[in-house]
Amino acid sequence: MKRFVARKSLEWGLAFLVFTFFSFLLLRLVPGDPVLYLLKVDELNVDVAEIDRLREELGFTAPVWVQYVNWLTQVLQLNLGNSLITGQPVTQLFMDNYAATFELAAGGIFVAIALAVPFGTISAFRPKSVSAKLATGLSVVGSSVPSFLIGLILMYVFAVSLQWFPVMGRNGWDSLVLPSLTLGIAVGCVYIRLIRSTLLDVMASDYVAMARVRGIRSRTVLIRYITRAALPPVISMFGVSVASLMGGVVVLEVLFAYPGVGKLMVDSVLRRDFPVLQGYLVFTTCLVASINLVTNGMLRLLQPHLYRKDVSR
Amino acid sequence: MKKHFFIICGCLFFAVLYAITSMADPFVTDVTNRLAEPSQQNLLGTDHLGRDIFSRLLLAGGITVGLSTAIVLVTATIGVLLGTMSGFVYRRLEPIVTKVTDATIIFPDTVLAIVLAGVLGPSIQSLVLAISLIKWTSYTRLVHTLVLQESTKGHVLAARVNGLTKPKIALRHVLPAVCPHVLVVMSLDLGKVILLISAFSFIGLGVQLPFPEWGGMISEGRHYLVTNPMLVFWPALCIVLTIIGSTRLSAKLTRHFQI
Amino acid sequence: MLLIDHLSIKQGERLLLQDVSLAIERNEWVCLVGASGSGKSLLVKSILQMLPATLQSTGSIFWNDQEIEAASNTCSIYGCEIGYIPQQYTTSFAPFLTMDAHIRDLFASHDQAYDEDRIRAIMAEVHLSEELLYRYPGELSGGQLQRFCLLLASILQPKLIIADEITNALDVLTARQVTEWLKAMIGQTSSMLWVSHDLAEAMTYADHILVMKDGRIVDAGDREHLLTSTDPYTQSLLQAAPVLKRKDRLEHVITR
Repeated sequence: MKRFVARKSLEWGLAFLVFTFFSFLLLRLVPGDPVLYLLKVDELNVDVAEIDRLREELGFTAPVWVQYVNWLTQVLQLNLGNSLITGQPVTQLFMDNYAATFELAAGGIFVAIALAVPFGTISAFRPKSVSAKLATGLSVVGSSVPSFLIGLILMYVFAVSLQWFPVMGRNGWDSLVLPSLTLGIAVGCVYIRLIRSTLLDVMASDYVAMARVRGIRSRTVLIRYITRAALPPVISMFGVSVASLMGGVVVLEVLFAYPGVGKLMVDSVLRRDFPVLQGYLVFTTCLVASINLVTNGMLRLLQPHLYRKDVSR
Repeated sequence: MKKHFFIICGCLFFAVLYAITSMADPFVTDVTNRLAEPSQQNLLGTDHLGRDIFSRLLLAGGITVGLSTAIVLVTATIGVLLGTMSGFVYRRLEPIVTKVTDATIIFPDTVLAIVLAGVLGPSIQSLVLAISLIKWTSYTRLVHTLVLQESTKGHVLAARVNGLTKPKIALRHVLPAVCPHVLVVMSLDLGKVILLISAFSFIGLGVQLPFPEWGGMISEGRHYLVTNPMLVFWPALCIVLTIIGSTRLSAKLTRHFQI
Repeated sequence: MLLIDHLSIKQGERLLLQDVSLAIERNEWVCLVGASGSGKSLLVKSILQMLPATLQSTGSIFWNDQEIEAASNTCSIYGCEIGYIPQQYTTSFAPFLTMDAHIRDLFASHDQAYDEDRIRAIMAEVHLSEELLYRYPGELSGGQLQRFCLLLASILQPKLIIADEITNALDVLTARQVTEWLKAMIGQTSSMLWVSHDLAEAMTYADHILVMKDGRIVDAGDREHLLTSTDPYTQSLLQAAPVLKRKDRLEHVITR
């Protein structure tokens, strides 16, 4: 166990170094000079000395690896520099925006689960019922209609016509309803089909039939055999979904003018705000990696037989 | 089979048709004729700048579907090549390939797309690059696993005993069993890539103006949702029909190959 | 004990099982012989209530004068009074549960205390070492898995054990070992419904033999009856097993 932890942390440390170096390089080697962007040379007349002074100030003149080490030590102190546009510390920006994104993601995941679990289960257990047909229809609609269109329709119906919820922005829980509903429908519909097909596979397996023949109680069969076998594929897919939410619910945040990470990033891209972009890359990578860690841990718990190395066969 | 292929090819077909007949110029703005009703000249009317909606829809379809097809074809080819190499022909590549694909598979495509858009500037090129960078890993992984499964089967072992070279076995015995699976995934991915391009065009990081894109057209038209809902309806219908076409195609392929 | 009364099974218009009646008495070893596709497995499945929903069955099955129905209240019969040894022993365990967990589930579902001594005794008898109890199914060999199947089917001391072609994939010696062990264990307390396509095997062990062909029972009786049977199908089966004609050689193989 000790060796496992040591090896894993070494791996992760190495991956972190390589990755941050690349993300550092990537944004230094961009076409176009961020200093010029900062000074907006197209509009003003700035003399060369001014540009050089700013370049010195931002530390762009030192060799690349020195810049990297400086930058990395700052990153480790959670100092990601300041936004080139607003001058706010990047960490501060992220704190606010991630809070908003987390709220939205949590709402969306809640709706998705509330939608996918019952519908997926019913369409697997009672394939001829009305709800099963509804589930099939819903999963077709959800996987072929883009999320921004669902959002646009919901916005038109509930915010513009009925005026039940605010059209955009973030204040109070009622501004969270429409975005998370949209997100939940878009994400959940994928899972209806996944849950259905996994459950059908598991229920058709020999060991479930054998458990019934051995007279195992139907509750036990359902929980210990069927659910447990159906969870791993759903969880690994879910990990991917959550990881992509951590990068910000980009499209919906833009649509609802919701001040999350995705919106912040789109704005930064359009304004070429490089410190923010760099911070985003570092932040999301850490988040995605930790979500992957959690997912793997859960899979390990659910499928212990796949991770035993000390047993001879 | 053919009928469903039609839905996808239809857009491409119409794009070509447009080029040949060149009905109305999709780029010409005409402020005196903005938000016009459908007429003989403008089959579906005009948008808020007086541009012909029908020709813009067709051109957008050509751009989106064409780009998505290209992305899927290129990445699938890379995936098939690398997956077969690492899984069967040249096994020494395996550790490198699996490490790289494992590392990138968890990385969300939207994040990469945003970062690349930031580095290279928001454009369709950086979006295509981002999608391709993510997609090739998933194909490589899929083909790698399938090839590993297939290479333990009897007919492959028999071919090896008979003294065929590895590339030849890969071509004749392994790939024919792998390709149906790849085709099904490709047809599904086509829809996903179209969705991604539309979504990014919707937020302004995809196809750039003045070129039309369905997502971008929805984004432009949504301000007129109350007065002129048709501006949003037509591109939306195009997207939905195309995606349904792609999922139906993959369902048909699945049944056809009996996977 | 087990009574099947005019059981017929249809798939649409196709008749898969035609008017089958049979009875298994206490401590009886009944053998069901027939070619593949003759409906043996279907009969077993309908006893175990495992029929796919696409099939329609008519007729009735009684267990101790009580009709078995799909209703849940009769489920307690399975596992506890009727034990089943499947043909596909490799896939009949959940890959993520240890063998011990399977056994514990069995005891818990039938409201019995986990009986360690009995488990140890049976495991010793079928040559399974105790550490195997804490392994996952994927970590066991085929033979070990099959012995665990025997163990799970017999641990609650059921009145009837159904063995579905369990010696098919085994070599002659192991097959004999397994059969002998089952015979010794259940000889005094339980009955056996032994399904096989091997008439020689049936002749060696069974008290009562049923011959199935095309969904019907064409011949039934004890060893002597079958040897002198006039039924054309039984006769052709006997001729196809030449080893029976030279009984001395059969004994020779077995004793070696």
